[in-house]
Amino acid sequence: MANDQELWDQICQGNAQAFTAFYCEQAPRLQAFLRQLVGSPQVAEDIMQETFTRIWQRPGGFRPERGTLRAYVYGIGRKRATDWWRNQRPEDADDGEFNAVSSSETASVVGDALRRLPEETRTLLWLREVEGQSYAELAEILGVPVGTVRSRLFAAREALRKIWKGAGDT
Amino acid sequence: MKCDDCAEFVSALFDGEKIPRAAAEHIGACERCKSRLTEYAEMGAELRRIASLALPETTHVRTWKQEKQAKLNWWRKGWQTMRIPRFAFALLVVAVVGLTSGLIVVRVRAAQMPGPALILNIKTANIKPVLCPLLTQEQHSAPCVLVQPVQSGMLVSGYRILGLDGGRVRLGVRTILKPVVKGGVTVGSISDIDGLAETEYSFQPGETLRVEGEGSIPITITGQFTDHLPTIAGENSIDPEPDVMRIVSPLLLKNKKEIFDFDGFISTDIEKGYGVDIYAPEIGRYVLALSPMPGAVEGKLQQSRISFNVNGDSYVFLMAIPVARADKVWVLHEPDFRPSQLTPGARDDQSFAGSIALNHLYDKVPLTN
Repeated sequence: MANDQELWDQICQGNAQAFTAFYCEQAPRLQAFLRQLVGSPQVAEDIMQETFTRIWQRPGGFRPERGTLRAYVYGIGRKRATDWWRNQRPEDADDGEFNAVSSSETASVVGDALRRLPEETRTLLWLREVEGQSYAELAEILGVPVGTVRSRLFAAREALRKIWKGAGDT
Repeated sequence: MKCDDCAEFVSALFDGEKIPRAAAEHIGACERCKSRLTEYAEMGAELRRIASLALPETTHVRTWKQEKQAKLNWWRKGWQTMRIPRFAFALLVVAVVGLTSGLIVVRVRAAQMPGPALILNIKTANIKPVLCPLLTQEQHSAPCVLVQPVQSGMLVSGYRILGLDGGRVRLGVRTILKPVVKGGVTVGSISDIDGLAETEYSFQPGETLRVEGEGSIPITITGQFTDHLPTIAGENSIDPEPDVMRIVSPLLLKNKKEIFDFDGFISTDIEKGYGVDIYAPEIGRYVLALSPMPGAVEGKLQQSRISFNVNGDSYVFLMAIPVARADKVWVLHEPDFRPSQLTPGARDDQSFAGSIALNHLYDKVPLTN
C-alpha cells in the first residue's frame, strides 16, 4: 500500500484500482465503527458507502499535514453518523434495534457498559482501543488538541471502568 | 505523588505515551495504579473482541469507476420535475428560472438491482404524478428525491422506506420549500433535505396517502408493490405522446466516437418552446428542442436517434427510447458556454442537464439574482 500522500494522489487522479484497494481495506472497519455509533447495521453500511462515495466523487478535503488518510475517512464517517442521529426523532434514539443487534453479538459487561456512554466517549474509546488511532489521529478526527485527547481518553476509560465495575458489583 | 495525581498518566502510559518521571515511579510502586492499568488492558481487550464480532462478514463489493457524469449538476428552469439517485447526485444543484413546462426524471438507483419494489405514485400540487420506485430490501436508505417547482418556489421532497409492517409501509417523508429569490431564480439541491426532521407515515399500498409538504404544498401518494424496479422510471410507454419530446439516457457520438454519456438521465414531457440542455466542461452545452432556436441546426430524428452535422462533423444522439413523434429535432451547440455566464457562482467544471425555456435563448436573459 502506498503512503497516504501517494494514495491520495492516485485517488484524486481517479485511479479506481487504488481506491478499490483502499475501500476493501478500510470499509469493513469503518462500518463496524459506525455500527457502534448508529446501532443499525444497515444504517452503518449506508453511511459507510456514502462516506466512500463522497471521497471518490469529491476528493479534495484531505490535508496530509493535518493527519492520516485513515483519520480523515473516519472523521467524515463520524460526521455523517452525527448528522444521521440529528435527523432521527428523539424516540428513535432509544428504539430496540440498537440493543437487539448489539446484545446478540456483543454480550459482555464491557460491551453493555460501552453502549451506556455518550457518543463522543464511545467514539474515542473505539478509535483508540480497536482502531489503534494515535493521539494525533484522534485529534484530527475529533477536532481537538492532542493534549485534550489524552485527558478525554482518561475520562472515557474511567467512565467505562466505573460502569463496568458497577455492573460487576451488582 | 498520589494516585489521583497519576491517574491520567496511567491512561497515557497504557497508550504508550511518555509520562513524567515522578508519575512513572509512583505507578511502578503502587498496586492501585497497577491494578488500574490492568483493568484498562482488560477493557481494551474486551473492546477488541467485541469489534471482531462487529466486523461485517462481507462488505458490499463496489466498482469504482471514473465517470464524468458522476457529478452531474442539473439546472432546471420552470415547471419541471427531477428525480435523482440519492447517492450519485447527493450534491446536486438545481436552478429554476422563469416558467417552463416538462418533466425531468433520473432513474432511481440501478434498475438492474433485483428484488421486490414499492412503486410510489407521487402527485405534488398540480404537477403531473411522478413514479418513485423504492426497493423494499433497502430500508433506511436510498430515498427517492424529487425537486419540483411549485407556485411559491421549489419543493424538494424525499421518500424512503423506514420499515415494513405486514402489508403496510412505514414511509419516511422530508420536504423543504425553497423560495423564489430576486430575479425569479430559485436555487436548491437534493441535499437540502439532509438534516431535516423526517415524518413517518403508515402507508397501505393501494390506498391514498395525503401529506402536506412545507409551505402547505399538498402531496398525494399512492403506490403498489411490484416484483422488480421498472427499467426506466417515469416512462412506461415506448410510444411518445404527441407534441412532446423526451430524452432518456443520451449518448453522444461525434464522427462515430462516443464523447458523452448521460446514462440515467430522463427528461420527459418537453413541449414545443422548451428544450433539454446538457452541459459538460469538455464539450460545452447542447440544447435539444422540437422548435427552432437561434444558431441551431436541424437534426434528423429516427425513433431514438438524432443525427446532425456541425462544422463538418457528424453527430448522433442515441437515446434509450424513441424521442418524439416528429421527424426533426433542433440542436444548438454552444462549445464555449459556461454555467457561470448565466448564474454567478455556478461551477463550470461540473456537468449538468436540465431544460430551458427557449425564450431565454432568444433573450439571453442573464440568470442573476
